[in-house]
Amino acid sequence: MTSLSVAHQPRSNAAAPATVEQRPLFGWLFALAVVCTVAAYARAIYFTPIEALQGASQKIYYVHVSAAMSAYLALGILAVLSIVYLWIRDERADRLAESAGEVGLLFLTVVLTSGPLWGKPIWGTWWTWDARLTLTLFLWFLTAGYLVMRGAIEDTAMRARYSAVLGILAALLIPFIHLSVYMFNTLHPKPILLKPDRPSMPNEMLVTFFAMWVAFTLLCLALIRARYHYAVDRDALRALESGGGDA
Amino acid sequence: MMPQAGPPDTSAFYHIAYTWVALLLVGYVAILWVRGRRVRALLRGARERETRATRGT
Repeated sequence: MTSLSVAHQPRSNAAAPATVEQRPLFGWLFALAVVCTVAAYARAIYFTPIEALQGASQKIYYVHVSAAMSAYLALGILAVLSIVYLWIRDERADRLAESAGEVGLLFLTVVLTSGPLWGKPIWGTWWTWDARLTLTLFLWFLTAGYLVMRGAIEDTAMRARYSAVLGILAALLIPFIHLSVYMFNTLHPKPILLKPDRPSMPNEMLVTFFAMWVAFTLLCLALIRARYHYAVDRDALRALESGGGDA
Repeated sequence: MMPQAGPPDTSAFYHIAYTWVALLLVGYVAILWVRGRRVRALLRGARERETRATRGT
């Protein structure tokens, strides 16, 4: 019984007092991500041909889809680390899940705001309540709710446990969002790349897309890392303020 | 002979989208940087106070 109750106490790794402040918030990964993002932007703007039917607005595809994939990645990390937290009750997993949730919300915001800017000239409307758009909006609200809930619960263990459950449930929406264009009659186009057969896109555009995808993936991971460093410092500060107690 | 129709001019939407996405990403990085700096300054102060209190006892 004793070992069970000990196992369910969150492991605190908040303070590594001597080294925490010396670690840079944004490290080499962030610098690499910035260089790649600037290069991908330049390629998309200056070195990628304009699509014949949609005109220049088709270029929104590169940021829109790359941001969607980064959001899925971040929320996938959130779900995996939430499971890890519920399993071993390690605060580092909770902190990393929280960081992935915030970065996931950022990329979801990019998706939900760049999409209408593409939809207006092509579909003739900013928004339509079809399955993919509506489910993505739900996911945005769930992720925002996850972060708001974290700020509202004082007790560390309870906050981590509740948010882990919500994080897993939010990430369960991702496969439904991806498959929604097959499951429902929708205005949103079917995947051009993430499908069983060859991508339906010329090579020049494909290279631009992959450049943007790599850049956004690196940026996503770098931002999660930076946000995690911030969370470590914040929890160390809380631990000090509460007299060395649980952060 | 009919003139060849080029692609439609939808460049305004594309310019707004690329600018907006860049602003969102840069804005988040700036906010995170400010939050990080503030927490580190507070952490440094708290550590110094703790060190002084430990020496005083």
